[in-house]
Amino acid sequence: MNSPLVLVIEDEPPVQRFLKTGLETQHYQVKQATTAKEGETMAIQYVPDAILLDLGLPDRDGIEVVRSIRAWSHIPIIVLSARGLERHKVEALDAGADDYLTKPFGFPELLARIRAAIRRNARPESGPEFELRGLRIDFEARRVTINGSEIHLTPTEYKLLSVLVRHAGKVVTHKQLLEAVWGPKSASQQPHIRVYMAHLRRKLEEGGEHWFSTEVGVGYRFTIE
Amino acid sequence: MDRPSPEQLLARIDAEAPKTSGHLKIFFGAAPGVGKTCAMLDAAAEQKKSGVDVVIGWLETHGRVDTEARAQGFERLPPREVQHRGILLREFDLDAAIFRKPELLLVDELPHENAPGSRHERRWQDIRDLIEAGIDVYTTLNVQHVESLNDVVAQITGVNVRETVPDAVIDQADTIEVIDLPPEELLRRLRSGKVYETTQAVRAEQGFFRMASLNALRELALRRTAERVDAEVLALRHQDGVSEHWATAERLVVAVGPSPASADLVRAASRMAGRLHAPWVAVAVELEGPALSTQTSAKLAAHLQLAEQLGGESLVVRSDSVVTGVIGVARARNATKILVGRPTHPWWKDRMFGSLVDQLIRAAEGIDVTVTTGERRGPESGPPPSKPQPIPWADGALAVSSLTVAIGVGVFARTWLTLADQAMLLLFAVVITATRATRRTALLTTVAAVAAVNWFFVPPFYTFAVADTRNLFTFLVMLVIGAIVSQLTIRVREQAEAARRREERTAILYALSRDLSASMDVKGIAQSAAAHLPGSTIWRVNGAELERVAGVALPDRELAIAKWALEHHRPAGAGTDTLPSAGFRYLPLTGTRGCIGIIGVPVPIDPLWNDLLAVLVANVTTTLERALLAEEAEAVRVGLEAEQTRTNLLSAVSHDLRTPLTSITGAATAALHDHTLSDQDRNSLLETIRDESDRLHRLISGLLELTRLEGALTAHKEWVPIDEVIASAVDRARETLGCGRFVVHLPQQVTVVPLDPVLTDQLIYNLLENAVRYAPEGPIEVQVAMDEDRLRVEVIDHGPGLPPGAETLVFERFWRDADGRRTHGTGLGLAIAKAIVRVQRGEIWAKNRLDTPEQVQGAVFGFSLPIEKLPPEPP
Repeated sequence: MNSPLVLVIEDEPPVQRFLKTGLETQHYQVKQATTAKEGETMAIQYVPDAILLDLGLPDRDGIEVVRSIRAWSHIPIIVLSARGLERHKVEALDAGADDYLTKPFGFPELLARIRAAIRRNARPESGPEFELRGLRIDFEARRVTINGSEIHLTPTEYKLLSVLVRHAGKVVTHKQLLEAVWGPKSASQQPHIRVYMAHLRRKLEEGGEHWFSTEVGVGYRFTIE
Repeated sequence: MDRPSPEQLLARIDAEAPKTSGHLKIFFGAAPGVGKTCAMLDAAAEQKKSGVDVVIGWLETHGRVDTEARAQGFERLPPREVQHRGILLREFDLDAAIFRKPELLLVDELPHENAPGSRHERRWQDIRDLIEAGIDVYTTLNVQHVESLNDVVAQITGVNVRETVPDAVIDQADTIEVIDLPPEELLRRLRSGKVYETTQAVRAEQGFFRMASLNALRELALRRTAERVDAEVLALRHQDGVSEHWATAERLVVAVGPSPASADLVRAASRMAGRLHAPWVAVAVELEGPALSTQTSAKLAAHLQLAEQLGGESLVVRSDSVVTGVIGVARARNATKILVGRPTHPWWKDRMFGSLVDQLIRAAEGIDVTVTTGERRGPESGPPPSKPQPIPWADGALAVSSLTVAIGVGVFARTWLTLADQAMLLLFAVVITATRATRRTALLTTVAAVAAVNWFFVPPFYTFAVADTRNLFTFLVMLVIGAIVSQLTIRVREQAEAARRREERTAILYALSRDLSASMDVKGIAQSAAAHLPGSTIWRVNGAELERVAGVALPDRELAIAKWALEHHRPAGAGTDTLPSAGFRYLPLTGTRGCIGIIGVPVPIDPLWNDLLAVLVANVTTTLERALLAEEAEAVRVGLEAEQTRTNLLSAVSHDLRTPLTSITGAATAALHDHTLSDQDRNSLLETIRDESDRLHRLISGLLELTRLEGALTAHKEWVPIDEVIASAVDRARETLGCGRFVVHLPQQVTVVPLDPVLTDQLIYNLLENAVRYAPEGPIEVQVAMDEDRLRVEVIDHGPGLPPGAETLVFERFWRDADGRRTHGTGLGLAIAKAIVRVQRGEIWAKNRLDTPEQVQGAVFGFSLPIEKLPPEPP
């Protein structure tokens, strides 16, 4: 099997350098672009398995790059952004980015995210059932069990869970959750989503297992590792 | 010193004119038809040839063929069409001109009066805006339209010109070119139909275009221009400090009143001041006593406005006599000349009541008094004669009823009363009337009373015949007494009225200044000022924009007028020259450092406020300026403090930043240069680099966070289940700190609280991190509780507890005890926690857990956040 190709769109040479060295030692092929324009062209040219995108590019806003790539492809995009700019992360995720990493980040963390993103992309649309560490979801019967015992969820809680599980491992923003659960134009429900999430967590995490992680100010993630 | 050549002079003026505003050139002539418009077009063609962007804004060709021919080849702005009372009027389009912004714009007929509803009443105001917009303007003007020469021209030609241009506008022109044509030539042109079409020409020749008139007008035009050149030369010398300071040599005071003659007096004063190069003041004296009628004060105001337009200063003083008022001003202003009008009343009034001019001359010791003719010539110009006063029906009724009662009593009690008693009765009726009625009614009542005595009480009764001639003397005495008593009564009443009004004014001013001085900030001041003028709006100047600080928001159209007033530093809107159709009058609040605000006062303005308005504006300006200065001083103080904090911080930070950098550099260079290192050693160096980078990162993030929190950051509160915030912070701590000792106690119910999730997450994380660092063993408990209106979160550890006295110190920046230094703390975590709590208006504390006073069980770090309102209902 060919080693996966990662396109790195980043304008800082030192960061480019360590990403290239690091990724190549981990048997990834690496293509590098330093501007948004070059990145978009190379994405079309090489169709990589994953894209690492810095949001602070010199020529264009990284979010626009996300949008223009999403217009034609589902290539996983992992956004790299500076800390404290939660708003940018949310925008990038809403625009279709798969994940984000806050600079500075450790290399093992980056590798894990790339692996997860590529795997998720390769996996076919989820089947009628989901199972992980004792949690079983039967999508047809709308039944949720943990280690065999049934968990009673309200319809909204069930919908939330199924949306998060279908995007397992990926951050789902508040806005994306809202639209998936209540449909578009439901921004006014924003505070309630958190309440339902709190209930859902209490029901599922009673046994001490951690299923969800909260990305403060951004959204939620169903953790698979 | 050599006299500078005209070229040098012009160059100098050019050089000194502000580059941003445009230049004005006036083509000045003695009469219509001398060829001003043609000269203007020729000059413009010349400019165009040298590449200047020339546009015709407005041209009056009067159907003259050669003029029309010359205008060919120029870009022409289309006229603005205005509907006025069903008539389609064409006007110069100011907005289009400013939008087009050519380098040079030709606008014919400077004195033109715009159609109602235009931005300005007059074209010269349009041109002023063009100049300010940086456009050079060529325009034309005839001598009869010059404001200060208006009366002289009227005397020469017998025609009164209404469309006049203030002298100030002409004086501010950068260049004036006289278009001179000998009268014989002009008359020839007139007859050949070059000026007017033939029918009009005949009429014109009889009036305006008589040889003598034309000669006189020509002389006027040339002299006016010569005066200007004179002034320029003098100004230049003055500037160079060569000549004597004529500016301080003469000062002129002119006394004006509401009479029509005063307008001429003002013009005469302007001319005289111009010749003397003297500053001048027009003074109106408001007498103690009854207030002027609206019409009279309007006339007076018009004269004062005229004075200002002619470049003088206007002043209203209150005094008990005209002489004292005028002399007071003259002395205060160090005047050298007082100008008064020749009296117009009959000579005998002077004999009886004393002559104003005589008194003035006597009182004006050391000051020349000049009396000029106040005679009117020709038909009345200016506003139409005032309407007759309405008949005071109420007064009449009072007079008739009191007289009737007095006569009734007199007739009824005729047998008991003498003629003297009856006369007294009627005088009583006169006094009663005088307590309420006008002077005229009171006098009429007196006459009626005398007539009634004659008719009813003097034999033969019921005729006006008088049997005894002695009774005639009685009538005369009665008439005099009646007149005097009634006039005295009225005067007492008027004085009481005046006193009441004064009191009212004083009360208003007192209340205003009390309120103003009680207000501390700009907004408070503006609001209390607006409260005194109901319906008004006040803006403060913020850069080039207006920021409303009090009153209601106004539509854009009105706001545009307010902005105009700001840009031009002149009042605008209702009751002014600019956009008088507005619903408000906009007055700039001009302080010592320029315009600091605008007040918009709704019209009609309460008559009581008419003269108070200026006082109010001055008062508000002063107070507002004080507040603005205070605001600035505060900003400077805050800035200095911030600077101080920054300096302290920098010195503390530089050490903490250098330490990890030193380790990183050291470790990296060691690993690079020594190839003999064992894998273990190399790994150890790399670990150092990783750990120290991490520390550096935490330090920088912490500093950024603190800076953000201490700046203008406001908490972005949302309704969040407390579970979520705690969970995310604990998860993160578990992950990044590699510590699994956390025990969370949440309330039974999911509790939704208003807080900033991002900040609060950071806050809890910092407390957890602190606990992990300082309590190496034992569980770390997180206790969440809801008090009535507060959320309480406590992080409880089982470590060694706080050193004595550190309960508040721990929240200081860079405070670390020995353990902290050992564990590579940044010394910022708790400072950030405190700042986050402060931003959300909560409290934070640290204390030791004591079982017995000696036995420390560990430390407790807790915070509480206020919960202000009920959470939203779930859907």
